[in-house]
Amino acid sequence: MTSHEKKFSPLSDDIAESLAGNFSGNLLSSSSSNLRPLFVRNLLFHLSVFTMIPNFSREDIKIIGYYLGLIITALGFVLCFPLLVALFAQEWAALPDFLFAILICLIFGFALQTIFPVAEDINWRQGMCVVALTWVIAMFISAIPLYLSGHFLSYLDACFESMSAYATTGLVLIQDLDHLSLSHNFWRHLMCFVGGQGIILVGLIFLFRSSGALRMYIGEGRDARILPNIKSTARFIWLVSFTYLVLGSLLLAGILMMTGVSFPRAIFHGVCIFMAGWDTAGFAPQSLNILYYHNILFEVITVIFCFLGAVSFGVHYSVWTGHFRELRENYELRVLMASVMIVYLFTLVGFSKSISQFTGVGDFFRSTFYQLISGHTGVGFSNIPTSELAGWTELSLLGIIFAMGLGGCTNSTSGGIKALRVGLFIKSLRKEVKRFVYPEGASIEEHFHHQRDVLVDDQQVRTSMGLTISYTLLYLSGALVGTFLGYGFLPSLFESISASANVGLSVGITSPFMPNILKIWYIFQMWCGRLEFIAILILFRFFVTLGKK
Amino acid sequence: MKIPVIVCTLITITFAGLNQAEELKKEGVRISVARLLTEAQKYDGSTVCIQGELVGDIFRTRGGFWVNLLDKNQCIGLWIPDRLHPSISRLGRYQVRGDIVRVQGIFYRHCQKHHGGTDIHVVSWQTIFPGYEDREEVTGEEFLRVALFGIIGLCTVFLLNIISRRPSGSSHNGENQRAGSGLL
Repeated sequence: MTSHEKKFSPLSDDIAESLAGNFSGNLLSSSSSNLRPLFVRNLLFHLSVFTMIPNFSREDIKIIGYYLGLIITALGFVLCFPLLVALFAQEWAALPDFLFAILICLIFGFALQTIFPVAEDINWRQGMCVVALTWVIAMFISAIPLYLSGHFLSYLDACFESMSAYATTGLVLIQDLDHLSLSHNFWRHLMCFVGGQGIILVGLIFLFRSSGALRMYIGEGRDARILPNIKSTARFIWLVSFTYLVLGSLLLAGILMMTGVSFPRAIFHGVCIFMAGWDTAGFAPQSLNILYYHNILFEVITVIFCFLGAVSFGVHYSVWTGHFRELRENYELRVLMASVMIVYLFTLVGFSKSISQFTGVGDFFRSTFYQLISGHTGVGFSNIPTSELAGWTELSLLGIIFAMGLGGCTNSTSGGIKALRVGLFIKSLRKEVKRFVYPEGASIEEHFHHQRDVLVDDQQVRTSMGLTISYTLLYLSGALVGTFLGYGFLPSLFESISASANVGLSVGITSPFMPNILKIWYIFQMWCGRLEFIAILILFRFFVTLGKK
Repeated sequence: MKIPVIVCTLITITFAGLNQAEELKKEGVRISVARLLTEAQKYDGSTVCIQGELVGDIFRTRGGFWVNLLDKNQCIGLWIPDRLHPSISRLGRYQVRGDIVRVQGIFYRHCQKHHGGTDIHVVSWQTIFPGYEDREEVTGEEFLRVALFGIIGLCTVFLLNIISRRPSGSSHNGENQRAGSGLL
């Protein structure tokens, strides 16, 4: 260990660990007597976080490089799956695209491991940095086969698609999707699956034996260990996902086969749609998205998978272990349900004057509720044309905007502010009201059930508020960039939230012909929204250090 | 003499006009799918005529089947009753160009028969151009380039590995030596 590391390492680990603790609602630094406005406190918090993170030492850079190399090598193995699909489907022209990407992964991955050979465990700060860097490098490498497919106008568009898949957003810039090869199409959906579970989670299964894995796991926006051991948690998440993958794909394929679709095509569509639905990505193998199938039963099944994907893996664990009571008592689930109903009311009121355009209640419900669930869970599937959604009334669009912004549950594959943080805000409000109503000196407590009984404390509330305000600022930033580039404010806000909360619904702004600056900004928003800020702040500090050196 | 000629001419023109209007009504408005979807409210319930490539799959339902039509970058679902018996030779997919067809049908923004979906109920059907295979030639050159890239890249990594394994200083522990002998 260098003298520099001796000086900073314990402190830096503490800070980074504390920051990581934010995700599980364990910590916040400022005192409850702080009377500064919340957004100022939040801004100061982020600035202080940035300046609190010490410079990275040479040893840090070596460790980051080594673990980055490991993950990139793992990505090379993941790329073998679409290669197999290309072989199976005899898509010979697609083979070199994937071979090239695999070789880049292996060369780059092995080179990093060779240049930075380390035997040390990774610490919090380094772990966060590895996660944030991994997502960017994975985006660049995964975009290569997409770009080589010839279905993108530029490499930037391919990068956008790749980040959209990894962050499980679902916004697309692909051209002529209906003629894309099965292997490239499968790769788009596999990226959703890998990104939804967490790129690091792939590594957790195959590569890492160290406790450092937890540090990277948390950096991907996961907030809790379901099982005491991080590797067991990762295995459980994969077990749940693979079980649902098999069942879901067969179910969807079965529905398609009932309409006369051949077995291989039905399985392909079933697997792709399941991966995009379960991981709340919203991609589809055809340009018409879910409308392509013209099947109400298919849509109902996708709604169920959207919900399952948006539910915390902790709740899945409870149900799998026979604790069905959790479904009824889990506070986050209850908040999510309440939120769906309230936001749907918004949409209903928004349509009150133009409801006559629908042919019946069923028709109205199908068109509006599907988009709302799709937006709230962060999936982004759509069963109406984009132009139809763009033509919705402003109040209805606001309903969908709220739904997208709030998002699903924590520790799930969905994005956005998350129901638990909204619930914590409500609980804290109740606590404040009680403080005024109850006699002075009375002990005021608020509890909620989230896999166990949790006592609401000020630290948790401030953490939640910090992240909520960070998300709000991110949402607004995209809206401002869009407005500055000449789009209307409401459509810009819609698209910005769709990108930041990793939803994927669009009112038409996202297209290959939108300005490059907006594409780059949306990529940044998708990245920030998926990783939930802290890992990215630490990465910026890493770059500042590199700049100084 | 002039008057009967003028009257006859006028009658002929009127009938011709009416006939043309009838023909147009029968044919429906020729329109692109993009415009149809953008101005869905205007064309809701009216007969339209669209042209494009058939893509994807055929989905059978009671009394007919679904197929999707691609016009430039926009797709729309066509519901075709069994009685029309259209012959579809190819559907557009990877390396396959589907049949180019011109269809007339009634456009529904929210189809009552199909749970509110946006679709066209086809009335008549004409294949303009049959589909064909559009196979991309795969040359060995492309594979050769990838192989060359792989060989050079992996050799470089191997060389880097050899360089980094050179003994450096007085490290006794194998792990420590591995940890401390990077190129950085």
